[in-house]
Amino acid sequence: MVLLLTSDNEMFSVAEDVIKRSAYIKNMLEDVGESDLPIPLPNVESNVLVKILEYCEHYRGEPLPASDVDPAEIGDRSLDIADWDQKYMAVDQEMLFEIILAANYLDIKSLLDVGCKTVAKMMKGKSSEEIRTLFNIANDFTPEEEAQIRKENAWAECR
Amino acid sequence: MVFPSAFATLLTSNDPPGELNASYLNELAASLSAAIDEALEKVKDLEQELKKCRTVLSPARRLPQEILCEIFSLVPLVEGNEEDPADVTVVSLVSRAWREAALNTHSLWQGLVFTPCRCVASDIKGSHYHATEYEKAQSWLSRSGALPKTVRLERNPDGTRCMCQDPGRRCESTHPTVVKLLAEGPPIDEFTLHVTSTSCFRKWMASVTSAGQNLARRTRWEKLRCFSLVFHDIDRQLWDDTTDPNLSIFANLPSVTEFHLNLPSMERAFEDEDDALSCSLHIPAPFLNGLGIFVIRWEWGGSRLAELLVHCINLESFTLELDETEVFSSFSDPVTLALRVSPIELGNLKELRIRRGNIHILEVLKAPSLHTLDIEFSVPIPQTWDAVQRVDKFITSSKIESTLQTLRLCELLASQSSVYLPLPALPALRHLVLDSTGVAGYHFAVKGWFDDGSRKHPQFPSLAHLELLNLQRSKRTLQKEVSDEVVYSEGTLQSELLSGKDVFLRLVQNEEYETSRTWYVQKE
Repeated sequence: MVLLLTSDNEMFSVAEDVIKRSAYIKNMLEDVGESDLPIPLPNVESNVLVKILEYCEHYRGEPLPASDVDPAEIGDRSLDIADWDQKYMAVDQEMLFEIILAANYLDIKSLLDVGCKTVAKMMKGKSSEEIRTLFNIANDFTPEEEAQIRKENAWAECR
Repeated sequence: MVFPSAFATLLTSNDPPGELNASYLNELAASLSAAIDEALEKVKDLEQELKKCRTVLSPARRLPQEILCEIFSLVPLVEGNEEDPADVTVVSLVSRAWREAALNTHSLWQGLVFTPCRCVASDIKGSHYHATEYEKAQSWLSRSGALPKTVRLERNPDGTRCMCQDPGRRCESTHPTVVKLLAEGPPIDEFTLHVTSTSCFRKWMASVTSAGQNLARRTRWEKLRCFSLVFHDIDRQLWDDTTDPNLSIFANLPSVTEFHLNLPSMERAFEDEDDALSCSLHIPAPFLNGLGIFVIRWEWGGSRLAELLVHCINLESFTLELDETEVFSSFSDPVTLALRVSPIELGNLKELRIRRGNIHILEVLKAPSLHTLDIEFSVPIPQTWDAVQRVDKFITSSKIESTLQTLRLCELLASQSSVYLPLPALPALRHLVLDSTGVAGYHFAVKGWFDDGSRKHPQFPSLAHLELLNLQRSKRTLQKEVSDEVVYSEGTLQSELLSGKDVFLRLVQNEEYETSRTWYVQKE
């Protein structure tokens, strides 16, 4: 078992074959070897880690992707998301981004990929303004800057 | 401000209040209403403050650039158009951070699509416009970093043919910005040119050659990796190439390794079938020698395709789009007859795809290195049996029974129970797709597969991925064919088959088929 300590000081005891889906933890275990000391995860809160472990548990036993292979490089550029992954990602927006950030920190490529696809699909067909509203993003462009970008890209759109 | 207890009895009776009491209560109601309005205003203010907090706390703000870039690179795929500049505009206009991330997402900038320019050739204003456009195109593509770049010159969306026969009109294929990009622009990996006639393509060749004449180095056109030439069927444009190979429109093609050639349909390009069978088509042998990937739409029938294929000695992937045209099907054509005896050997060919064809071509080809065979049949039902046997014979004569890894059979139509798949045992086959095959009599039963306890299919022992798509039968029949036992729900069936059997099964029934087929084509 592996001990994990979250940023809000909660301790989790997790089976090694479950958490090894995280390349970060896997590498750490390989480097440090067996230890009773918990692995601190200062960037992950307990409620997020619970979600991450749910994902790792579901895919327990599935072959791990090669750590250095980017799905984009092997031609897997489709936006298909498996049914289970879609249900897993049906969370509020804050949790969705927390999962993406944690997957990035823990280096779980398949989960990061599913998270990015989910966000890309949320943006589908939306205008810049609608995306700002959706993700609570402030428009920090000056009107002149905005006009300039529109002008630059209008060239490409109208050819 | 509470309801006075002195009036409590009025609440439990239906007696009207006295005049004084009513007046008091009216005042009380008015002040309560004002208090509610005030509270609602306060709620609105608080909601505004909450929104500000949420905006500042938005987790989207904490996404590092590399994740934003990854998301942006996926956005164009959502609509299935990888080169839509509108996507670039949308993400660029969200915020400064997003703009910066968009600029760093190289894949957003790697393609440009042009439509023909209608400006007059001698117009100075037009020249100035194209000079500016060239600068912008260069700057756009430069943002894609080291990624391979793609330029497409498409047809006008209104579908009219090129008016270059009219005096003073520029040929649509000689778009000044595109010509300049292909002459002296950044390195271009892939170029697609849509034309309506042989003369338009000739004009393209002349303009790109002329644009490169004063350059000290070879043009980008000459260094392309992939060239796609699409002849459009807008209206009748007769095929007009010279009989002299040195003067052919194809004489000076760049030495690419990937070539897509979409020839016009026979009825648009020729007066009659005989013209198609005897026309000039001189693609130089050295050009064909250098091809690794060749995709051709051939609707001219006959056996002249052989003139090209014999020179494709290094071909690794060949896709033939026939659109129901009969090729190599004649029993009197001497070329076809000779090739049946001594087929063309494509020694390096690894992938062969035939789209909508009668597959007689398989009788004149040998491909001993093939690992992927993908056939979309177009044969009348009475000839299905012959077609399947042709596949079988091709596999056997190419001696690929023990090396073929992927097989896709699509639109193999037959009346129920009259056809089974008489394919030889394929010990290396890992991926089998039966798509809209519409025949019955398969034996995919688990019991049948694993009777010897080896958990191996006797005919396809290496099978790891089986796709049964749009099999045009009831779910019950299909499930019986696949499971040979009780009728499972689809989910259970899948898990039953997956459990310990090392075969991934994908079943797509009729109603979900259209989307899955699109998916399949896109994946390709």
